[in-house]
Amino acid sequence: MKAAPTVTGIFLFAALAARPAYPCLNEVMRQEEAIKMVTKVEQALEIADYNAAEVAMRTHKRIHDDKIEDRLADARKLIFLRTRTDKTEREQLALVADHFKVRAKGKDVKFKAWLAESYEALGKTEDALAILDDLKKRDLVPDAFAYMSYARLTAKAADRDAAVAACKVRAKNKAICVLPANVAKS
Amino acid sequence: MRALGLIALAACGSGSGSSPPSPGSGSASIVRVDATELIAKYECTRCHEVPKVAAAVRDKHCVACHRQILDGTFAAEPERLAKWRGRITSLTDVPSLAGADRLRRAWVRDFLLRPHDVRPELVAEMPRLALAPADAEKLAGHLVPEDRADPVDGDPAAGEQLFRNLGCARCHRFTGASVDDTAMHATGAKQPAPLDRAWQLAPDLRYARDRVQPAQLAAWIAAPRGLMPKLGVDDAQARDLAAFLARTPLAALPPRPPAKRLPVLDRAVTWDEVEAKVFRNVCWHCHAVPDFARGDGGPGNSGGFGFAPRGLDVSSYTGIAAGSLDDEGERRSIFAQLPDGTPRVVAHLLARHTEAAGGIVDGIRGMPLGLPPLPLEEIQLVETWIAQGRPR
Ligand code: HEC
Ligand code: HEC
Ligand code: HEC
Ligand code: HEC
Repeated sequence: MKAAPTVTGIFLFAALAARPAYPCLNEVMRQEEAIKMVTKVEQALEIADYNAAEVAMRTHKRIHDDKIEDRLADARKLIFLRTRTDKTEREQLALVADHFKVRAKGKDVKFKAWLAESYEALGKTEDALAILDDLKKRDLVPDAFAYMSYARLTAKAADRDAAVAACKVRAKNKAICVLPANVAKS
Repeated sequence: MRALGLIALAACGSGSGSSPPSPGSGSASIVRVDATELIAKYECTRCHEVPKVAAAVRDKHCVACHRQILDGTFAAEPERLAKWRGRITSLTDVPSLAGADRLRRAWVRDFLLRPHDVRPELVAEMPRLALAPADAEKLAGHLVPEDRADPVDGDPAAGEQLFRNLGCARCHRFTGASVDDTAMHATGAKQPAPLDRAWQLAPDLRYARDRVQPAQLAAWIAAPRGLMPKLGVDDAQARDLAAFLARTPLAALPPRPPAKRLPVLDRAVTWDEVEAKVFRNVCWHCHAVPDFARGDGGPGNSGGFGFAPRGLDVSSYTGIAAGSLDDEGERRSIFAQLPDGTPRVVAHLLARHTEAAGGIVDGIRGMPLGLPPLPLEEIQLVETWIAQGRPR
């Protein structure tokens, strides 16, 4: 596996300068650390390694950066959602859906996909499919998890097979592209 | 070329507008236009020095930051600096716009609307911004307050001899002219600093007759500005050199064959490959994650250079799958096929080739913006990856 890329932006290079006389040097350093950590968490989420994501998150010291805190909050909700069991409380899942509903008010389609996943967890199949159908139609399905959500929910066998196939092409970890036995048979 | 004329200038509001060349003032067109607002709107100072306008802060300044890294004055760990230094080749120098007053106003206006490569050794080019013709006219008026058309008087033959004797070709290409000397020019790269930078910044003199005001040509050679060194040329010699530059016959440039799209490859192409070779190599510097950079994901994401935000993040697989914002602010896929079947992103990459050949593709801005077109093999790679369903 190649080394984890550092996900930054050109203007972050500025923050990477070691500024000896800079009063908030610690904050700058911590921001760089925090970005590395968030990146690690998101990479773990992408391959459905929720354990690794939790471990990475544990190293986190709070920093004064709302955007990074928001991304971490998203990650926590996703872990909760994707590791749910039959015993997971519905109210908790509803809170996750509320979270992504607020996030999805912006223009970033990944929040729409995660909202759809939350609707799926809540049994709101029609709401979930409405979002996923729209994303599919516009070729804006942001990740492989959304394809699987669609595959589990759609009633059309051909669409289901196509979604699983798309998952296999676009997932980093192909193991997530497996349908639960009850769906696969239907 | 363009029939915009000076009428648009008069409508610009501030100042007296244009005065048509009047017999009393030789043949000078003098305008007083203040385009400071437009310079701020299009963020010209993120790259250029502009007289009387404050420079952009270092963390927004494409050239100042790269320059500091190359000069070693950017405060970062030495290993990191060394790594960065090995990567940065573009936007390391740009012409100061203090020197733009030597140019012809109409040339500047047309250049802003349809920029082309003037400096063969400079990697970056002037980006094609979303300038309205009236804005280009106004900016040109601001940068070139006085435009004189007095003819050049000098002896071209003597000028040619001087050109050869003084070794102007060390820095300058003069494509199409008999004195163009690629071998001597190649040695110019190895001149000691700052002459190596002057070599990069030296224009191809082919364009001088169209873009530089005739009288300014001689004035510049006698008293050059910017990084061009003084070469001990007196006024008479400068006029001879100017006459030579303005009049020596130029062979037509070889026609640029239209970029031929390569067929998609048979082998598998994954995200890791296109990411490393294309998206993270070039594009990411303008299309990054705003969350990680204090809200600024670069001009191609958060907006900049006068462009509205496109929200395009090419730094991750999820980012690129999430598309960009259309003119109505709605997300659209950058892979969606345009009416002719070309995926949008490929159309933008091909459009850069069209721009480099002097054209413009309607509604599609060439990418990478202000940088040389990607090699066709890299576009082929992107197209293959898309055709294969964008495998992770
Ligand atoms: C991203 C950096 C960038 C920005 C932003 C930018 N320029 Fe440029 N500009 C360049 C580069 C690089 C060149 C040199 C191109 C060449 O010589 O081929 C250039 C060349 C020019 C020239 C020709 C000058 C000469 O001596 O050849 C003018 C005039 C000019 N720019 C005006 C502007 C104005 C006005 C703006 C704002 C509206 C602007 N530029 C914004 C990078 C930039
Ligand atoms: C705060 C400093 C900083 C600023 C501001 C900055 N850059 Fe860079 N840039 C870098 C560093 C550092 C690298 C090398 C990073 C690497 O590849 O590891 C780089 C590399 C690049 C590269 C790829 C290498 C090359 O030379 O082609 C491009 C393209 C680029 N920058 C464009 C821009 C543009 C356009 C802007 C202005 C909008 C800009 N940069 C502003 C620091 C900066
Ligand atoms: C060490 C490198 C160097 C040498 C040698 C050199 N120049 Fe230049 N020249 C430059 C640079 C750099 C510029 C552009 C400066 C800028 O735009 O800020 C320039 C600009 C010019 C221009 C303006 C052209 C235009 O299109 O704007 C002319 C004319 C010119 N040089 C003529 C000459 C002549 C004639 C000689 C030989 C007597 C010569 N130069 C030698 C570096 C050099
Ligand atoms: C110097 C900065 C810069 C670089 C480098 C750059 N872009 Fe862009 N890109 C922009 C800007 C600014 C826009 C918005 C232009 C507009 O609105 O017309 C844009 C727009 C786009 C769009 C159109 C989005 C839409 O929906 O209209 C695509 C696609 C794109 N870029 C792809 C790329 C790719 C691929 C690369 C690398 C090969 C790249 N860009 C490199 C600045 C850049």
